Amino acid sequence: MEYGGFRGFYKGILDFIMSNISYVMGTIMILYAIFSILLDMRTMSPGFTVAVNIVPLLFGILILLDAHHSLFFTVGMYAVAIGFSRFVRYLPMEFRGSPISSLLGLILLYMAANLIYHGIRFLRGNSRAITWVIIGSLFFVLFQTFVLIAIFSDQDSLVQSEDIGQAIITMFMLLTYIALVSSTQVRRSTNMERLNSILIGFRLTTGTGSDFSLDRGSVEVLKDFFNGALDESMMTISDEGPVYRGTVIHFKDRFQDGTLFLQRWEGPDGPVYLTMSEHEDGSVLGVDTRRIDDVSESGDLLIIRYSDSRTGVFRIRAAREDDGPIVKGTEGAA
Amino acid sequence: MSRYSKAVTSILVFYLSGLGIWFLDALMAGPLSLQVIIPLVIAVIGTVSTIQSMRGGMRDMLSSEAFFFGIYLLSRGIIIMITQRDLGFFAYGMVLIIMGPLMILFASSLWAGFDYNNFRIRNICYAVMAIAGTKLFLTFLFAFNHDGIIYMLMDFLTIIVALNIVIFSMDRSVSQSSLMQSIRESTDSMSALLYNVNDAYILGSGCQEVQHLIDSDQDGQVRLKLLSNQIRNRMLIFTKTDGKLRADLHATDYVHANPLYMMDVRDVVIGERYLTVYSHEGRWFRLLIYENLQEDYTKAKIFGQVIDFDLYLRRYSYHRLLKKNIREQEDERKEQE
Repeated sequence: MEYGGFRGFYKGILDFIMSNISYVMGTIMILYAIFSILLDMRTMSPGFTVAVNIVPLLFGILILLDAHHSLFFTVGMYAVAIGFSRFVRYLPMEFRGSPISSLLGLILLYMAANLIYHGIRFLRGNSRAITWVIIGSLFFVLFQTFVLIAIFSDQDSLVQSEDIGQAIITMFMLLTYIALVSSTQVRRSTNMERLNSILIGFRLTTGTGSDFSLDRGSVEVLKDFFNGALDESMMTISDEGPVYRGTVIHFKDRFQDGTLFLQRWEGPDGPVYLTMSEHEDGSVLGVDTRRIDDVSESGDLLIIRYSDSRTGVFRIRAAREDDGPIVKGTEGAA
Repeated sequence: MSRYSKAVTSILVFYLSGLGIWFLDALMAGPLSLQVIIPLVIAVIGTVSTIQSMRGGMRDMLSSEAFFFGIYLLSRGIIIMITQRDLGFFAYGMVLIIMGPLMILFASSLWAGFDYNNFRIRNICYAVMAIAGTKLFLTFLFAFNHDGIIYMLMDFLTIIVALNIVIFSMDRSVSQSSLMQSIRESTDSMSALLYNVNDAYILGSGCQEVQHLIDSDQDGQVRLKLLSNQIRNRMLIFTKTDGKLRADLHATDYVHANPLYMMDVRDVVIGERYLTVYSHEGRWFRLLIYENLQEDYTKAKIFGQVIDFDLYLRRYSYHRLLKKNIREQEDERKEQE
């Protein structure tokens, strides 16, 4: 199989899983509950078995019923169900009579409660710092490893050998949970990410970024557009409104991409306006438009003088700063 | 609850807890031993000092109370380290010896004018509550005898004092946002300008109304709901006066909010996908046009019902606020009558 084809195939599989993630997680949850019931029935009373497993079973069904396949709902329900199930399961550890078992149980109860809390945050569409979620879950996984080691080394005072199946399932569920919270959509729901998105919008729109840059091609487009020398094929032509010609170029502020809307109003000799925006598509609101008086180059800087006496400076970015095919001798020094 | 009744309650809790701890200590070590006298002395001096500091305000009172609580934690930690040989007690004593001086430091600097230490005091109280709670729980599990019950009650009273400080330090006159919360509030207010929103839209029917207003010879007004799943809905108003069109975008979906933009409109271009509004001086904004409401796919939909946990919670707090406002307005009206 060709390398590019394999890459596309693999991406296709991942896309398929992510677009059907609620089905996958809902099914895993129901299977977990059924498997867990079968294991627990051998060692626990029927009432306790139901108490431990009813929430994962019900929540699994609810995840499958979600017509929107919401990732937040899936992650939230998943975390609450595992957390609740773990909490009820570890509660008896407090009353086994062994001090170490009780201490261990206390930590596990805290972790289970923490998982429930995370889940509720996800259900509200606003998660905590993902790193802490992952660290918390990894500690939980490590405890399961500890439980397995204790079972294999016959530490009966700490854990019961019947817990082996549960420990393995819990590890699997938690690792799946970690994978789930690492998805882009969930990661972008944290408070810090939301603040970051607002601040990025602010710096790109207001022009207060510290390292605005344009590549050589975009600089030429901007200059040509201002001088009225840009090829018609590179412009949008409007019949309605005041815009006579328009074009769009992209700039960067370090790793962040932004969009420059260039518009010439009222005919071929009309004024040229520049608008900086975070987005190219969709709605554009709150943007600041400036009328360009002059465009010039000074060294590796593009200097734009606006009619309100402000000045915009863009660094002209060297080709080697952008990612792309690495071919010897093609990047140059510019 | 007035600030006066809050202060009195807080001092009373502090004093009674101090007395309680003294009494419990006395049950074990006799009423006149040094380790028993210390909490009593701290409770009495602390209470007098705190009553005195009420003149300065809630912050002074809080810092005085926290200061003497810090002294209590430190002395308790030292006594435990000297008298107890049990490893668990030893660890507990060590934590108290760390927390005590920290509490003294933050309380005294709060008194001196370092406002942010109010927040730090609260954090130490949480830590004290956590460690005392754990000790209480472990004592309940493994040492549930005569002495154990006395220790549990002492831990309980320590938690009560810490909780007392936490609750009253949240009073409006002294509390403040955490650093993160403050940053959040500021950036949220920046987001009101909507520059990072790219899913704002209006319905096709609204576009027709705007077109109708533009084509009409008469003056008038069109109020549209600016919809978005990224943000809460806003209100967009087009007003035509003396043949001139103006667009106002409001910060919320009700009309009395401050307008974010006020733009004298030069042209409105309604295309298939976008509605673009241009001003005379070069400003413009663009909105998406949809025929139907766009569903928010980040929220679950079960049996046709959208499950919005965040909205339920917000709605609850919104209704509480609304009821409070209505009550206040009625009170004002009665007073005027």
